[in-house]
Amino acid sequence: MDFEISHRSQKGVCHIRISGEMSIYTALELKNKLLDIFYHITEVHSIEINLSEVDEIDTAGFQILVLMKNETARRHIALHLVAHSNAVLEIFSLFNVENFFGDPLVLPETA
Amino acid sequence: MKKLILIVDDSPSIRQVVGIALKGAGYDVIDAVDGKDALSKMTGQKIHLIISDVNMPNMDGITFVKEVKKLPRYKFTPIIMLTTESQADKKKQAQEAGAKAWIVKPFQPPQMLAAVSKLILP
Amino acid sequence: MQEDGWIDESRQTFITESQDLLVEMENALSVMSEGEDDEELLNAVFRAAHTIKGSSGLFGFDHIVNFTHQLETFLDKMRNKEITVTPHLVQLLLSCRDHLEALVEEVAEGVTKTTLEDAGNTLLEGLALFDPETKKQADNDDNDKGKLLNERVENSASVTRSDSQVETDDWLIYLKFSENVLRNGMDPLSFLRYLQTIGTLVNVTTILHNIPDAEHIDVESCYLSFQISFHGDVEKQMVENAFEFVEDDCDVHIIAPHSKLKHYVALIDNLSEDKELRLGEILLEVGLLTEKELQHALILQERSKQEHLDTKDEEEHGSVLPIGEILIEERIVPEETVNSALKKQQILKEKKVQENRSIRIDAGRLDDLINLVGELVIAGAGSSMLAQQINNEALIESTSVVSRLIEEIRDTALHLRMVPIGETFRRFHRVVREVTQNMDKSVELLIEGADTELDKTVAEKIVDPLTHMIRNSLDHGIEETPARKKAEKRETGQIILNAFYDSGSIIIEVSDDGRGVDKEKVLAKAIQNGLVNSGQDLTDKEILRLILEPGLSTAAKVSDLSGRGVGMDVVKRNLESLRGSVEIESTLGEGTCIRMRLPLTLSIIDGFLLGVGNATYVVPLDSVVECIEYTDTSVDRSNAHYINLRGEVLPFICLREFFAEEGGISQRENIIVVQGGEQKIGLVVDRLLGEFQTVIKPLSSIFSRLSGISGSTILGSGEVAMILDVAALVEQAGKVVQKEKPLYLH
Repeated sequence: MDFEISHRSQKGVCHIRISGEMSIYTALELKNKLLDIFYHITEVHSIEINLSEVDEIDTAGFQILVLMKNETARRHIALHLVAHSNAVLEIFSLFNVENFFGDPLVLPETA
Repeated sequence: MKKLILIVDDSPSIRQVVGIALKGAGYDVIDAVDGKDALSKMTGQKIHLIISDVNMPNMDGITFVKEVKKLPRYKFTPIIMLTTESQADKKKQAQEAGAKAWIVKPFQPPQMLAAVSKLILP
Repeated sequence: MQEDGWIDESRQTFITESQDLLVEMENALSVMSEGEDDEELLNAVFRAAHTIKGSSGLFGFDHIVNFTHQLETFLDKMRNKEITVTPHLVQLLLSCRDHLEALVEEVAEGVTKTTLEDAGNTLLEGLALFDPETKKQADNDDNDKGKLLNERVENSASVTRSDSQVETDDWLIYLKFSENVLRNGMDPLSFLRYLQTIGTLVNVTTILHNIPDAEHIDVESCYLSFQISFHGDVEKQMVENAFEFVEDDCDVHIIAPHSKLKHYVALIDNLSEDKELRLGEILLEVGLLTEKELQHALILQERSKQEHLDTKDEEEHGSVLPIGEILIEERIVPEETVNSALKKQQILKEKKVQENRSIRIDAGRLDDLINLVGELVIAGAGSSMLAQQINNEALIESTSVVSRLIEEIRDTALHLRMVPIGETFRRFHRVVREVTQNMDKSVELLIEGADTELDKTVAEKIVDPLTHMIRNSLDHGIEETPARKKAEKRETGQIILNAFYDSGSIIIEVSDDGRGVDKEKVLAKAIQNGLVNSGQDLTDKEILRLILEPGLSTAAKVSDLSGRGVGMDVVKRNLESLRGSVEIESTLGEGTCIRMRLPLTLSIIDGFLLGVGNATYVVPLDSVVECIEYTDTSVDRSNAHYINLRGEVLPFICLREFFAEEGGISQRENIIVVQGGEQKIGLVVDRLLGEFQTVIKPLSSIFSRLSGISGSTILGSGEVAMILDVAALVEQAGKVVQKEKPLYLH
């Protein structure tokens, strides 16, 4: 599949990195992998997902981010999305959901 | 990253005009002369949108759509069919096969670009 | 097209006629709902449905034909006792009647595309529940439908609401995507992106709370809906076009911006006022509403009506959400524009009332007027006479002016009821065209005597019989083209509609050059059905008359209009109710002519006044051939009732004897030769009093059995004169001739 996911836990924070494509084609596997990580973490108070290498994201991919936000909230774990790629920034902006995720965004420099 | 569009039509002039229009709008384009040709060209590519004629030799548009819908890599890829006004039944078949968008021939390039931009991901 | 011009003219006729029938239907159903189980009531309902179907077919209101056809089939089953009458069923039939009324109303309002189809289908489905054949199947269907409905309702309930609509200067767009949209290769993202290419997304609210939890999510499904403020100088259609590909996969609601509102309100105010529009049409016309949204709202309206029906709550029964409320509720258009459109609608309605130049008058009131005018004529004649007697010139002059005016009033009043038959005839062009469309037949309709005027009531009532006759000619008379070729006939068959006056009656003929009636077949069928005994010796004319008996439809299959067994017997019954009669002539292989003779009730004819004894009679001038002097040498009165008129046998009737008149016998009797049909007869009278414009008054039913009299009239002097029924007299004379063989002829 056209995406990779890696994670490591450090000082109570689980760092996840998604790279490649977050689309309807990858959504099922992506969801399973993310949930797998999520269900197996212990002694973690927050999760940070690095999106810098997400080069493509669609509504299906976006819904998985919302799903993760909801699931973590239910378990009182903080979710931070960091280093949004341009693709992610664009969808966030279009859907106007920056506030929902509540993460500081680094806007790309205008060319 | 430029989006890649596949245009499938047995008419060289249509392929040419559509190609020029799409490239002008910032897309990458590959083309194929019929369904079979298109399927062979799709492997190993990452195509974001398909524009296909209905009537073509070797493999017609409807069969082609059905085949595309079988491919794990392309089953959710938007497909725009090129139909003529008189092909209401074809349109229905195409929709049932999974192609929800269509452009009625003859069309002007701006019409087609509008259709593409309604379907292609940013 | 010229042929279509009559549609507008005659539409009013159709509407009036249908409304009358609907009243009849309602009356019959009301009696039925009180528990009466009378076959005739059911027949009345059936006939009303049948006639409405027939005439709506004429006008090409296919949706009405479709509904009534199914209703009729159902009623037919009721007539055949296949379906039992229950109070609930009668209730449902009343709803069907109301639906028909609504359909007719739509026609009256000029709606070209019905919005009531769903309602009609629901009613028909309801009827099917009473049909033992379909009951079981329908039960199953109904369950499924109920489920679907619930889902839809839930779906629309989840559309989020905001109270602050249309405060800004932006378009408001509400999108709720179906779960399948992504699987169909479409993404909400791309539509938002596209909107950016035609305007600016001012604000987007993405509704995320429908995304299920980890256990229940299907990652290929879309759970998003959106509220979008969109700024752009575009028309509504253009905004809607952005979603054209996703229309099956998304509920789209678009509300125009505030500034546009003023624009729309202005547009509404400026709408031309020459036609009445429905609310939806007004909003559609100014572009505030798109066709699709209107359809959607109408479906919702239908559904709400349905829910009321389902609750069976008597009070709520029939209360329907106005379309305006739905449009506001569904956030399709803002309240402000709905209100201004409603105002506009009111203005249009008022305007229409002013412009509507034809008024419907109760026939009874018109009759009253004409009676009064009749009395006025007599009173006027009376004062003229007095003026003559007093011999005051000024008075004579003024009464003559009054008399002339009275005559004008009389003519005008009578003409109120008269219409040329052409209008009635011409509508059949369409019947012929439409019926033959699906047949291997080529038929032309020729119209003769279109200017012949007749009473409006008569004109209306003959539409149905005429329809049946023409359908019969088309279905069974005119042969298929190959058969005509084989018979060496002209390939194009002809149906001729003709009207003319004949001895105080109007004759309407429907003739065709088709295959004619197979008399042996008719006779065989009549014997089979027990209408005649096999031993009976019938003349051709008598055999042909059998066609008019109930239960003698020789049609093999039931078509839309003819062959349902309500064919020619209905024709006969309709004509009898008009005091008319039918005659059929037919030659096998050459064609058929059906001749209807109708009285000119309440009309004027040119009459010829005759004096017999002390009484005065009127004979229609049309039927008078000649007058001859009557001398004893021309006949031996005591033993024969015919004379030799230039070598012809002329039967005659002595009116003095016939009507048992007494009083001064004239020395110089006259014979007035009249013609009725093919036959001439002589009438022996005492005096010839000359021509007289005659106002025919129908005889009351007590006198209707009087042989030889078709009506009465009032003379200027106030005297009543009987109008002779020439046809009946001719028949009478014919009988006499048959009994006494003319001596001369051997």
